Amino acid sequence: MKNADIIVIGGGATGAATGLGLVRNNTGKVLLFDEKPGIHRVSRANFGLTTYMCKGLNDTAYADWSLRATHEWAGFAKQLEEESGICVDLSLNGGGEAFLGEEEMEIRIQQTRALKEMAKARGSEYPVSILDKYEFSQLMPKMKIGEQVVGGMFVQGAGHVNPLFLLRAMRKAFIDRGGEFIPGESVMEICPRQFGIVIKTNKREYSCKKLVVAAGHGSTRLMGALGVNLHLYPQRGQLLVTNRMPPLLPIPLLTVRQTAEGTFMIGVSNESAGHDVRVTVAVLKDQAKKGIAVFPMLARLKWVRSWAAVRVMTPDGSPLYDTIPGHDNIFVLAGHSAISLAPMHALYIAPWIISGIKPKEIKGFGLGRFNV
Amino acid sequence: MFSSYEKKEKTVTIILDGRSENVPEGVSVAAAVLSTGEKHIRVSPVTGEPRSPFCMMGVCYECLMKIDGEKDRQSCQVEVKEGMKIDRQMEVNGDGK
Repeated sequence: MKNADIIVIGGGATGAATGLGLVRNNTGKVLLFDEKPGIHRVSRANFGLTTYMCKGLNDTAYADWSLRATHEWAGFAKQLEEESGICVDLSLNGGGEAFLGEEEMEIRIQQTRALKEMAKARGSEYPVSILDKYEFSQLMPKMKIGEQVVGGMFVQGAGHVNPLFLLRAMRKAFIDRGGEFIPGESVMEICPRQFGIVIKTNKREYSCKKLVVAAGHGSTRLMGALGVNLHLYPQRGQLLVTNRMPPLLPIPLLTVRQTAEGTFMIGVSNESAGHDVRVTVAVLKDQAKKGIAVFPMLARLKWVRSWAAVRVMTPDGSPLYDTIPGHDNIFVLAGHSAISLAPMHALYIAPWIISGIKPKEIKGFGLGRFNV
Repeated sequence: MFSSYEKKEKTVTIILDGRSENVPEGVSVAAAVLSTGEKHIRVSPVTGEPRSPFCMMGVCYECLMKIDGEKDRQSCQVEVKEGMKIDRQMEVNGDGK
């Protein structure tokens, strides 16, 4: 049996960021497991936004947590790039969204007003501005805005990142700092013992003092075996990628962004389709149509790739960070904002795992809220 | 740079960047253009760096050329035809309007 101080199950964006935070704090031997290829890997399918836009309508703690992440991003990316030597293509010039039609604009205005008032009431802020069509078009002077667009919003401090380079950089920095990355092994069983925890994979057994379960939908099975219901549900998203263009769109929208490589990524679908990661013509068509309605030039580009992925959703959309009942050395991390929240996982979740002292900002993100 | 190991009897004539070229019949546009001695077929729209066809099997999107007036076509996936008008994409252009 191989011994470690801390084992992290799940080498996706959440597990890698948390694992990196652990090794940065010299917390002993840390192992990071990533399951064998062929399974769903939602961290590799992400759109790449770093944003707090529209987050936290039901949960003000999530709004503040997401906003704080955008404040941490610049420093986090700088340190990560120094550690790993990998540029993650972070751009923090703000984000936005176009409103197609008066009805959508009215909904967004009310939503933004509510989020601003809620933020103000708790001494925080929600720095999003609603713009008319002209003001919105000035954010992207090289792009023609479609006729259906009636206005838009600007999300100060938001941005985007290359999620694949981010994942690679976090894993590399984790390994370079002494963490051990174990790809291709599936954790079959978690066995809590009187002292520590034994992990059985499809190949061998490991033991550790603390365990972090950040295996996305895989966490449901692992925790279910311990009698813990995580209440996670799958939500599919699909997107399209075009051929490369010169830099034209300086800020990412919720539905369209231009990557550092020049491609346009289009789409932000939310579907209930179980764990099916196939794309569908109907949804891709709808995404393309909306993209073209915002930027008519997209119709002239070539559609080169598409994919779907299944988000890890909690019932209220806020992340889940908790230890499980009876085991204060087993931590569960889950949620769909693993890219936006990567700095928080490295900078605040990892120290919580080390010290056992839960930061007050995340006290509302426990399991108890789903067991009512 | 490239030469065919199989001497094809039949050729077709294409218009490459406005000039006539005889190329083997039945090959892809990418292969045909490479056979004329051209090394670069486009520039990266982001960096302006010259690029060449790479995978020749439809995956990498490095071989994009203008074929019969349509920009950004995957030239490795199109069979060359008599009289086809092919333009390399050697200037950074493309606007958002």
